[in-house]
Amino acid sequence: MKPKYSLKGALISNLVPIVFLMFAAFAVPMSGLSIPYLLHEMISRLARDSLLVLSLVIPVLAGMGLNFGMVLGAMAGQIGMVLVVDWGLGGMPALLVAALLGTPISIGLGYFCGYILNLAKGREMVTSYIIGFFMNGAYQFLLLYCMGSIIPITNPELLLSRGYGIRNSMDLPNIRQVLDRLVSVEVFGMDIPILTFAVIAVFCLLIVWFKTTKIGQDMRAVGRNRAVANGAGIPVEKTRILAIIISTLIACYGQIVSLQNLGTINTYNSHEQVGIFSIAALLVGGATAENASIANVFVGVFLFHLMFVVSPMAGKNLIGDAQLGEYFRVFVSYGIIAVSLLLHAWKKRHEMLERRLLENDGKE
Amino acid sequence: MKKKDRMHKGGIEKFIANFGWPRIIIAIFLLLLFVIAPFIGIDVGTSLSDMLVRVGMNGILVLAMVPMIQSGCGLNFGLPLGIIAGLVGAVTSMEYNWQGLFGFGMAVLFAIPLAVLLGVMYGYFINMAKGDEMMIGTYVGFSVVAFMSMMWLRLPYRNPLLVWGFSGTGLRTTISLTGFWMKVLDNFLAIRIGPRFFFPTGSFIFFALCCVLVWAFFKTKTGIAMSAVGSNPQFARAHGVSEDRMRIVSVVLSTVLGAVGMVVYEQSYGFIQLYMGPLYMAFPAVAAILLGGATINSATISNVVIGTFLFQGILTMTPSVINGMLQTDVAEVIRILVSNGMILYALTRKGKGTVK
Amino acid sequence: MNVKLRRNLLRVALCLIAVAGGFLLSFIGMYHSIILDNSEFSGAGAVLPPLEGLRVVSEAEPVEMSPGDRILVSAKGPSTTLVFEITSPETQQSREISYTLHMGFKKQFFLSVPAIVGGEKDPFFVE
Repeated sequence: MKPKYSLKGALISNLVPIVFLMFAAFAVPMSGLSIPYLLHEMISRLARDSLLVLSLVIPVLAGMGLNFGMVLGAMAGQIGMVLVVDWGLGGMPALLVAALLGTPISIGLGYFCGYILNLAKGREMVTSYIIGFFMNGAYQFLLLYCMGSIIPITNPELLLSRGYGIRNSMDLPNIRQVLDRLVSVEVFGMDIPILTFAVIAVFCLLIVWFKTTKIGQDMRAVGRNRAVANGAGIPVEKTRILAIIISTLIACYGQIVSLQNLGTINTYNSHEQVGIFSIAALLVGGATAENASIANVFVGVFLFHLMFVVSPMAGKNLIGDAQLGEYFRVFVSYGIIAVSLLLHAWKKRHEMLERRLLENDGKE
Repeated sequence: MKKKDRMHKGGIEKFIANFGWPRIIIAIFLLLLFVIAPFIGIDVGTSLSDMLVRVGMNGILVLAMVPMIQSGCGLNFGLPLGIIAGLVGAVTSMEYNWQGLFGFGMAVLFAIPLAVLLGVMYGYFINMAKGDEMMIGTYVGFSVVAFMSMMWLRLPYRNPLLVWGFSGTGLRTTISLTGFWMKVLDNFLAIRIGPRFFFPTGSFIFFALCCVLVWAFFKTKTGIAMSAVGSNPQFARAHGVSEDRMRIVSVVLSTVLGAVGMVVYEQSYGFIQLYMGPLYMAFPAVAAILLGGATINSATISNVVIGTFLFQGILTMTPSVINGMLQTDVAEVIRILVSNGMILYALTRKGKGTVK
Repeated sequence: MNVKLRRNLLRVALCLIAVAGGFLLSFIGMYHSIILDNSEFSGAGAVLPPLEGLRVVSEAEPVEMSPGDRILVSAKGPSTTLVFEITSPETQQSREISYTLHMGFKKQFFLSVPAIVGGEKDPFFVE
């Protein structure tokens, strides 16, 4: 049975983006920031973060919820970046080598994450969340204690003064915005990084294409109902692992794109925030833990970052305290995840109860 | 035949199966650390009292996990709600310059009603999101911490020792308890042997009291009903127990224990950390109870006690032993790996750990 | 040839291509620092004095060098060409000498300008 199109239904299913749009409509004038400035910021941030958020789409398709384990991919990308900087590479080749280095690391980490999530079916989100924390420990151990002692680091500028361990932050002068600037067009005084958007478009097309392939269809089947998929002869566990590997890989490339845009690495912080922000952005875009489209990604990145840029200034102008605005945006990013998960869980439960009721009616 | 074989297996294997491998490995590891310690110039007396102080400090926060696990709500990642209540209680008591045990008591008294309020709210959320309690809990906790960060800036506290000096409003990030009720429980009837060994009797008495109260609660009718809701919902429903109500009661109880635990934590720690300080405080408590052998849907008081001792023991001993041996500070990394590794282990245990 | 073997061979080949590609990209994209020194050089043949009126054109901005100066230029890729313009202070006549340096994977080079201009075979010096 196909649901009829109704305005009310459309409003309800897009409630979260609409609320955010309304918030933005209120906060943008409050902030006193100019529209061209905001537009410029949004374009830059869309180029920076879309790929990272895109990495979350495939696991949702496979019914594994929001993959908090995407931070593993971000870690892999960062390890690649650190090594590339140490070897003195620059320009586009540096990005490509970082991606090449990140690929096997993300495949390995993605396999690990997928394997563990298979042991914790039905609890994928919490588990992937904790895997992120756990691997963050391993990541710190690798960069803080192994690099420069076991893994050779030739550039002493990258190391802490004690002689081993990577510094907290490093500049990427030879890598800064190489992808963004390689092919860019100036429109109304704004540089639009065509090539970066082209890369993002390629990944979007790949995801769309992947959904139509045999494996993509299998994945959707696994996402709908594991038991049925298993009965149809689909290797459920293998498919789930593949979904996580793809997600981790895209997150790795996404982190590399994002780092080249920023031009600096916060060795021990950059990746931690990535998971929270990407997931919040996807949810703001109207996605749920069971349904995420590519449109959700772009709408979400736009609205979330608009809120992110505007709220400290709006807070300052409204209440006279920038710090308050700062906390407000932290509150909103956590709150939006909580509220969307809550609404979603509630809806899911409601549907289940209704179905059960219908079944009971049928029996009578 | 197979059944018979299993019966013939020795008591040791049965013990191991009950006790769980990770716990045995960690217990042996901890023992090893205590054996090695004297040889690399670490004073065992100091380490032991450090560990005991930290057990007293964290025990009740770990205990706060029990009610929610028992009622089938999973691990209480929403502990920051209780912690926030504890913080508000502490700050309010300090606003009036109350000192000593009285100040501590008033902090607890202020904290409890707020914890009940937050707990009821949290309980409703938990009931809305059956099956996803842990994820929701985490983010409800985070949201409340961020919301309170805004509140700390605005709430009308005026005591100059608590607020920023230059503006006169907005609570400080870190507030010292010196001169208020710092270590009132730790020092109550404390036992000192030699210059280095210190036993925080008061904290232990208080911890034990809370444990006994929780234990006794689970012997009452409500307590039994709560466990029934967690372990066998159909049975509970058949006996006319309201599942949703029991779950809310368990959440309130967990949150209240979290609030009391936080006040105890503060008096021992000597500082109050506001703003983003409490964000990740649920994780060590969750790890500790799991280390003590609890699963996602069953926890006992002995899990709490064993877990707290093991976890705090590892946290105090590993850094000092490794520092002594390698001259590096890997404390933070080890804390991350042990606590999250433990949570992962519990989440992936097959069969047993299914939250309904 | 059975399918499994063929697949594995393909996989190995892909890995090798990736590794080779990585090496090639590193070869192209590596930044090297070249330290140019304009002070007296005593090589195998003669003692060469520092140059006056020297201008260095590298991948970055052109730089003037006085006698005794030492500068750092960075260059990307497997090889780079440095152009030295020397204008004689007396006659105001200038000459240009270009020098191509093959850098490979080495990160740092110490070059003496008088040695290059004087046609020394080995213009490198050690710190």
